[in-house]
Amino acid sequence: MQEARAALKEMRPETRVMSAGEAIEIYKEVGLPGDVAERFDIPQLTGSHGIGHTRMATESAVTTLGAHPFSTGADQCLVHNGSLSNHNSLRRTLAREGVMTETENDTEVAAAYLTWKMQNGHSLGEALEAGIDDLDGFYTFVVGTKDGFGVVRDPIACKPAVMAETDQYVAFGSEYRALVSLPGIEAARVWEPEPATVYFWKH
Amino acid sequence: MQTFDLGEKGLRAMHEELHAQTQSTNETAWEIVNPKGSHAIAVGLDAPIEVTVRGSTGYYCGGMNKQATINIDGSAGPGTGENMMSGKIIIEGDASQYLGATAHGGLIVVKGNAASRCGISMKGVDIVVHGNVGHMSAFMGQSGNLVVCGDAGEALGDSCYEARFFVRGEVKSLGADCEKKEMRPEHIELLKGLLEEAGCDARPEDFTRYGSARQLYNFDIDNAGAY
Repeated sequence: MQEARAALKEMRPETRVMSAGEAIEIYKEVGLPGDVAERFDIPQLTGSHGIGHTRMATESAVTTLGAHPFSTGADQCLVHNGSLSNHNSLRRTLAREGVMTETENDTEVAAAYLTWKMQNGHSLGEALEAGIDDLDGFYTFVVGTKDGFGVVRDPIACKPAVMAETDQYVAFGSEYRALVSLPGIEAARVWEPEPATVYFWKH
Repeated sequence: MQTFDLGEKGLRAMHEELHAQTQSTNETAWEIVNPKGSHAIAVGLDAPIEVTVRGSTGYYCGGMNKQATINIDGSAGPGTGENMMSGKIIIEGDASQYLGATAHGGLIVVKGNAASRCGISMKGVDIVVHGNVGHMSAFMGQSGNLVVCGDAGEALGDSCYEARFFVRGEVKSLGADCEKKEMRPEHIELLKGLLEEAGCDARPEDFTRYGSARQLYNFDIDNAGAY
C-alpha cells in the first residue's frame, strides 16, 4: 500500500487518493449535490451502508480535497458536522508523529488523529473515546467502517443528530427532515444520540 | 376543521392562511397534514385558534406563538416554541434540543422526553415534560416553571435567575448556582395546577424544587475589590 502510494505520487503527482480498502468507496466533488450524485452515478451504487454529506465550509476553502468524508484507514471514513478549534496544534503534533495531512481542513486532522490512534493499537471505538478528550471544539462525527458505522457527539452536543431504527435498517441524519422519505419511518424508533457516547452498528 | 396539506401547498401558503385569522375568526380548528419534518411550521400565530400537526415537525415549530394552541401529533425538532409569548404547544412524542428557548409565556407540554437545553433562557413560559430532560436544561432560566416528571440531565439550571424547576426523578447534577429548595404549600399548589393543565397524573408531593442560590447574579459587596 505504502509503495503504491509512493509510486502514484511520483508517476502522477496530480493524483489524489481519496480512499483505500475493499469495501468503502469515497466520492467527493464541488458542486450542487444533485449534480455530484449524477456525475458519479450514485443512484446505481449498491451496498449495505452509505452516507451522504454536504459541507458548509468554515475552517478551510470549498475544494474537492476539503470535502467529506475523509479516509481514516482501509475501509474507514469520517464525516463531521461542527468545527474543531485545536486542529492547528493537533496537526503539528501529528506531523511530529509522522502522520501528515494535505489540507487546512479541521476534519482531516480529526481523521488523521483517529488513524494515528489506531496505528498505536487502539480500536476505532477506543480512538473515538480518546478523541472526546483530545479534540477541542464541537462535533457530531459519523464513521463508516467495513461492516457498519458509528456515531459520536461532543460532550456539549450542540450539533444535532437523529437516529431512526426499524427491523430493516438503522439510519442517521442531522435532522428528521433528512429521514422522512425512508420506508416505514412513521413506525421507526426515532431518537437522539447522547453526548460523549460512542455508538456502533454493524451487519 | 380546515385541513391544510403542507406537502402540496407549501409553508408560505400555510402561513398566509394561519396569519389571516383574526381575534374573532370562526375557523378555529386547523389540521396540517404531511409535515414531514418541515422547518418553521405554524410560527408567529396570533389568534385564538387550535392547530394540529399530523406528524413530526422540524426546527422551530410554533416559534413566537401568541394565543394559539398547537398540537404536534409526533415528535418536535430543535427550537420548538422558541420565544413563545402565550398559548399552548402540546407535543405527543419527544422534543429535540432547546425547547421553548427564551419563551416569555404560555405552556409547553411534552408527553415524551425533551433533549438538551430544554427551557434555555426561559423568560416566563411554563414547560411540563412527562418524561426526562437532557443536559443544561433551563440554562440561564429567568422566569417561569420547568416541570420534569422523569429525570434531569447534567447541569440543571446552570446560572439561573428566578425560574423554578420541579423534578420528580433523579437530577444527574445541578449547574452553577442552582440549588435544591424547600417545597412550600404555594409550590405544591402551583405544581398541582400545572400538572393538571398538562394532563399529567403525577403527585405534586413527589417532586423536588430547585432554583437559584442567588450567589451568581447578585452583586456581593465583598467582591467589590475585584472590579
